[in-house]
Amino acid sequence: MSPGTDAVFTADSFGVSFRGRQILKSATAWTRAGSVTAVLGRNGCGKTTLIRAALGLGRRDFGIVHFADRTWDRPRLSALARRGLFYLPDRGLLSWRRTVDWHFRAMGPITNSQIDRAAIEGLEIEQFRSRKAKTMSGGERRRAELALALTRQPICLIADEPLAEVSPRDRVLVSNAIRRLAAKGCAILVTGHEVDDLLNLADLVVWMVGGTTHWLGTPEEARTHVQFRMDYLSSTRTYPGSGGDTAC
Amino acid sequence: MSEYAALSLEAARRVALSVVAATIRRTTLMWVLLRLLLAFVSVLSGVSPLGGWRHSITAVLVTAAFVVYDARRLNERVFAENLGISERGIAAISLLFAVLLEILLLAARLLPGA
Repeated sequence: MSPGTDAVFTADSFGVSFRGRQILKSATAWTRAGSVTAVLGRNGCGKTTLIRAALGLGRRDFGIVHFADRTWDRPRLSALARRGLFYLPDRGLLSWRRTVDWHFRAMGPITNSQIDRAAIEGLEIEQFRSRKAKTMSGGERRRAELALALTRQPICLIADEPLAEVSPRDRVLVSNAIRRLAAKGCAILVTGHEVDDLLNLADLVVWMVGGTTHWLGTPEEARTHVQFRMDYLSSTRTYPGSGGDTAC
Repeated sequence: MSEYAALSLEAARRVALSVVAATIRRTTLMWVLLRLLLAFVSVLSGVSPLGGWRHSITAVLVTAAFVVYDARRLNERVFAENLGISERGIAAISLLFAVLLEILLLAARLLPGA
């Protein structure tokens, strides 16, 4: 399935090789306004590589980005950010020597009435706003980073493993915040391995395997995709909507 | 100018000091280590530890290569880029600082008794 004209962000046909090894052959991922696309795949399949290449943070052999009604043949994160994209890396968004409050001040005065304050408060970051990033746990940093993203009010959020290192209860907070952001029209692309949470969160699922991407459709369709269940989920659990049979 | 670009200009002003501070800290460390290495090589060769203009060019070029590489690794860099500040701008600050350090060293050589 092609991204279609309603895609807000498309990383189109990316190829990446490193030291003679082809990591991505032709990978494409996209997301639409108001929806969450989950890119799933095994460790080392190239999810982060695709995102970093599409944002100009990593090397690429070929591939272009469509974003904000423009085609970017040499995408740069700073230029994409000036058009309304926000990138949440898998680690290291916060400066370790700075407090969370400092980062909020750096984002600019929070006076815009469009900012979803309830969503930011829902992340429960008040108790560590005055602490430096290096003194916080991985889960606390993740919530603070997402709160920063909400403050920026992006039209597109690329979040690499937003649920990693996050406790089950806090995953609910993070998922709710991402859903609220999508409900306001933001196009969101997430990756990760927290399958149950991500399938509950996502509207669309892309499976990355063998250096390329496969469009699986809705989470319900993904759960019933035999090859996806065998090769990625590899679970004996019965997933809702899978017709009662179990994966291998 | 888009709303985000306007926000970026405001953010650049706010974040610049942090990015510059992190960049300068790492550039200075790299430059000092490199200069110590060059001084060691100079002493072994029986010439002045401060070296000549060749050492200055080597120090600036190697430091520049380091900071261009290092700019991609800074936490502050991803945060700054998310606010619309380019990586090239961050690297340029480092390079300018390395050149400034070399100029200060050259000036020190010209002092009486140096």
